Amino acid sequence: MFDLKDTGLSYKTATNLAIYPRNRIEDVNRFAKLYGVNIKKKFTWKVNPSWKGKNQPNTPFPIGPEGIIVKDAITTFIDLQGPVSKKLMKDMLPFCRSLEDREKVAAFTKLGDKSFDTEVVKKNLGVIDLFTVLPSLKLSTEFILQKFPTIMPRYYTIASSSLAHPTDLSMAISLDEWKLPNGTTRQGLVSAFLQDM
Amino acid sequence: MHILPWGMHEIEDFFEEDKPQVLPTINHTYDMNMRNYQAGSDIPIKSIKELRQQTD
Repeated sequence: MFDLKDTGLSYKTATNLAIYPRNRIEDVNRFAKLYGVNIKKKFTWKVNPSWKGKNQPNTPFPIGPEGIIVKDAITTFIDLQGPVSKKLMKDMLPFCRSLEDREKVAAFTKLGDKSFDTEVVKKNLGVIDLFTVLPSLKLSTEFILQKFPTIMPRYYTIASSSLAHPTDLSMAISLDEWKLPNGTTRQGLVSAFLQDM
Repeated sequence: MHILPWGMHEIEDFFEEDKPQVLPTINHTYDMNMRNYQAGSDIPIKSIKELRQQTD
């Protein structure tokens, strides 16, 4: 149950509450260690002069002129459990250090090849699990922050009565939990986020 | 090598473990996802009732 008192917010029964979850700190630390990301750096975006696109796109997520620490940026904006797309896989090819991994990526992204479905999609692997299929992968922080999926809001139907409880907003949510083929247990981003609160 | 539209301008290399994160004020036009994020606010949790459901 959320407390809306003094927040200036109101709701109506059966409308949606959007939740922006954050990654667990232990997941961010593990991810940073695996990929050698310096999470202590504070940065802002600057235009890359080598980029030759027509229109400069927006930055992948908002950063004020004061900048943001990489750890906060990953925790708040990058969906570490987010899906690995074939497009992302293809973009990662230059970051594979071993020939074996390069060949794997080439096969994953080959038209008509089923290995991407069996090795990545059906195993529920997210971007945090990439090292299990591509152990030689070494990604740059710029790449991670611009190419990895960003955290999207999840919408939940509000279960409480706005007439009976105008400042108490309730919703029912179950803890989503699943096992990866390597035995690691994963929990849903939002349900784990709420469980930790 | 894939060329990215943005580079990182490093301000400093530091770390303050307990520093609270401040949401930036941005005037750019973002897609719905990030616009909603900008409009979001932290709502305190009043209570949690844990229920167990037999799923098997």
